[in-house]
Amino acid sequence: MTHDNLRNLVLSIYPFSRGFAFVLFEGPEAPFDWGVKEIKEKHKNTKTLDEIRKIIDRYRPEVLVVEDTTGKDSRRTSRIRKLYRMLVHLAEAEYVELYRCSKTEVKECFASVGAGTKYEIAKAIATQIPAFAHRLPRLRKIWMSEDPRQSLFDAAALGLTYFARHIRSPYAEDVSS
Amino acid sequence: MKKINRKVLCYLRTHRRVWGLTQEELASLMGFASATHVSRIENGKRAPTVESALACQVIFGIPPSAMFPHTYALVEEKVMRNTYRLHLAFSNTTSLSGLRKRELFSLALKRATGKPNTLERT
Repeated sequence: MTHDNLRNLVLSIYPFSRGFAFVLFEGPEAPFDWGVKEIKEKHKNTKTLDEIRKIIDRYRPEVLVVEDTTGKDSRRTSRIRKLYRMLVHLAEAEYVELYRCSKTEVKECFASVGAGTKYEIAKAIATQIPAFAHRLPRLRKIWMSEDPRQSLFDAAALGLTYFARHIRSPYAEDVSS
Repeated sequence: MKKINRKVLCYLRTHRRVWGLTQEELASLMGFASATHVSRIENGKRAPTVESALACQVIFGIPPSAMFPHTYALVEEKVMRNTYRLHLAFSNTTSLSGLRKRELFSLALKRATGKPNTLERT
């Protein structure tokens, strides 16, 4: 974490079936705040949007990073796709720059450290950012549901991909080549 | 038009969560009866006391100026205004003690102007 030079905050959001995860970065190795919010009741999208709006109001990030669901590789549900469309409007209304990165971009970014699967990416992030290390979920077997903590790493992966594309990060060299 | 963040910037929550501490645990480490005090400092509802700031330095090894940059910037702004005022007041001094004070004020002003202003961002 840097304290001398305060940088612009980057907020990455990763919604999942039971809520959403967020990571607020000051830099590629400096998470400022993070968390997983579970939203179980009805009208999940509206409630999720309200929660995200609260985070934006609180921290005023410069950039909002979300997954690009327009590509063929995206397999998100219609509810999540609708939520992403709502997030685009929210970013516009709150004057926050929106960056969308696809699953392929994330995988390309982490390929340099030999991480291909979600779990391997999560492990790479846990190594890179010690603050997340104790939140690393167990390896998911095919009969198991996904651990909500995995979404935190998915959100972090989006943020780190943004940094790799825009500024120098441990992954940037290999991505550019 | 870009909205401006008026929230108080403090790294207490970040460092607490980096080490996996709960507000209750941190409160007990700092010697508070409940987590409310920690929560209020984290959310910028209460400025940290000298004891709290020093307790944070003891626990995390981060100096108060880095842990609470916004509070530090506010204090610095106020003190620097007064320093500058006194610096001008002592501009015509010829006494040794006056010159010594002017030297201190110059050094303090130089230190303050040599680093980025954290208030500008928030």
